[in-house]
Amino acid sequence: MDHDPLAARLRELGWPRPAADQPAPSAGQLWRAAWGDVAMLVVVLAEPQGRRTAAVAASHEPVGDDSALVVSTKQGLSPVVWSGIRASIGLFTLDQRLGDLDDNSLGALRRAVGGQRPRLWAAISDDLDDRTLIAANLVDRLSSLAEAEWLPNKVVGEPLGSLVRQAGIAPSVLGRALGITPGEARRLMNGTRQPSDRELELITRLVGGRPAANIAFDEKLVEDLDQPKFRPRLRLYAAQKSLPDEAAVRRNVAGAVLAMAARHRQPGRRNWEALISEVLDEG
Amino acid sequence: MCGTVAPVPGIREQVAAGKIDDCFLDVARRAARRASLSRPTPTGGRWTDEEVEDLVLDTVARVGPDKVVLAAAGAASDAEFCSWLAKALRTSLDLRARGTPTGRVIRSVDGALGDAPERFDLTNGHWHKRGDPRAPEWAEGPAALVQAAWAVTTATVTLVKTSTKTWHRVSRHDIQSVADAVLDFAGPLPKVVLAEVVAARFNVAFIERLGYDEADRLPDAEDRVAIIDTEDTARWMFEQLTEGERRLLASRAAGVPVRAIAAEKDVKKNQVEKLSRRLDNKVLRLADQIGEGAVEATALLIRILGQEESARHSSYEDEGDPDGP
Repeated sequence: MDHDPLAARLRELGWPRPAADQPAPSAGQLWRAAWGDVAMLVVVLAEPQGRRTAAVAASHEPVGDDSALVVSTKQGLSPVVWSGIRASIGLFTLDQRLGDLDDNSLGALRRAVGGQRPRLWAAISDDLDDRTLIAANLVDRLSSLAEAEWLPNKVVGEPLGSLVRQAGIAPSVLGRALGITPGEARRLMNGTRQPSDRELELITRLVGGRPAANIAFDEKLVEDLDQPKFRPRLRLYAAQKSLPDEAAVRRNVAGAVLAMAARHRQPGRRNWEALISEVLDEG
Repeated sequence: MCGTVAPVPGIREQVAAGKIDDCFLDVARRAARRASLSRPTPTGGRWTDEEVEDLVLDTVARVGPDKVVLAAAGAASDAEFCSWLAKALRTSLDLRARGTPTGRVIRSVDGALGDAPERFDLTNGHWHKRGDPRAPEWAEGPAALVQAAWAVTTATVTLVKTSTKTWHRVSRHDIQSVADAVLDFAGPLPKVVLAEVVAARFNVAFIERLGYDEADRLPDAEDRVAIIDTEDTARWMFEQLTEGERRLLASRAAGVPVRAIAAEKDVKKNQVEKLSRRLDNKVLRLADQIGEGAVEATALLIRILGQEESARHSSYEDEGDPDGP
């Protein structure tokens, strides 16, 4: 490439240097956010609250509505931020930080979010204004990210443990039926280990009904696993284990971390981050 | 495939990280070569490697290197990024062919307003309404002017590059109506400012972005210059729709349920419903302007698009693809 004349000419145009990393999210950072088949640019608006953070849609397209403004990052990027398109998104959807807004841009964005419309572009006042299509696309993507979740859906019904107990099945019997240790069976019954699809099928046959998804991951473990810094290693883990999607990977890792935590007998608060790293390294 | 060339795995991630490596150069060259097919070369003859590289360079310079990086970062996949790159290259060729969009719109505005000397006058490079005593004093930027322009209802949705002789008159009338409202609001305006407002009002900036295109999939009517018939009218209606709207109309014409359309296009059901409402509004407005023959033209457009969609679905069924398109 060094001797490619096109490469040399392109380099002369002056390229930005995106951060391309996964730090702890904070206000004023420009990120690529992605989940499943959806990706987009977002600016983090405020410090995260628990598992979520307020974000605003951004775009490389040089067009906006009356709420939009052009911001600059210290890394040489200047996206258009649509301050009217905002949502609370999960931290686990943040994929890669691209840059940090400079102070002027962050101030202008805060004013725009506060209702002081920059009016660099006209308001969209007609359905036939083609900017409606661009706005609809951004709204659609952002709402997909806002709805993203990897924790299992709460299924209404009897929890696994009570179904097994009602059927008079002891943990050792359940363990034998599933080909797992009695300890693991006990964790399944207590809701600290997630059953695999195969196990769920066998349990359903054994107890005569499908149990509710009653896995209760530790809140702090979930928060830590949501941190963007784990995402590249989660992808590697998924590739190694041939897991179908990121939600499955995260559930698998969380389950493995809980199992590992249960082996540690000493009392006190778990260092979930260390355990997550351990599981990912072992993977 | 990404519309033009097969995406190279990992290209999106590399470009998003600001790495312009062999992978990007290879894809950009192949996409530029593909985009230049059937386009005239800058110097005549065949496209040389150097001319193809110039096209890549021009395109990156036009959109800006940071937008290339942001487009890669915001894309969901290698294919989505390659598709964006291909569109950007085609846009560069279109811009070369027709001069700047602003230049084209300035000519359209000059033509339309020059046709009505009893209403408009041009003095020192400023358009103004005849009899307006105000001096040129507008200094607030175009946003409020575009807002005023959108208050005028028109039949023309977008000023496409292939407005035919027949429909040019419709555009002219609409440009006059919009200019009338804008000049009334702001007083005399420089030609370039009025052109920018008209361009924004008639979605000129979105022609490539949203896939407005010539009606090359409708029956060819090139040899029937200035004859207003159903095919010409349907062709004009086709040109007024974005690529996405054509696909949506086709799906609906083929009887595909909204939920299935949403699943196929990977968008939300409420967005499909919103876009459907916009499409209905657009088609009704076009038909309203056409008047006589509108029903037949709309029916022809829907029939052709619907047949294509049905054929597309049956070909997937024949090939045994359970996921469809």
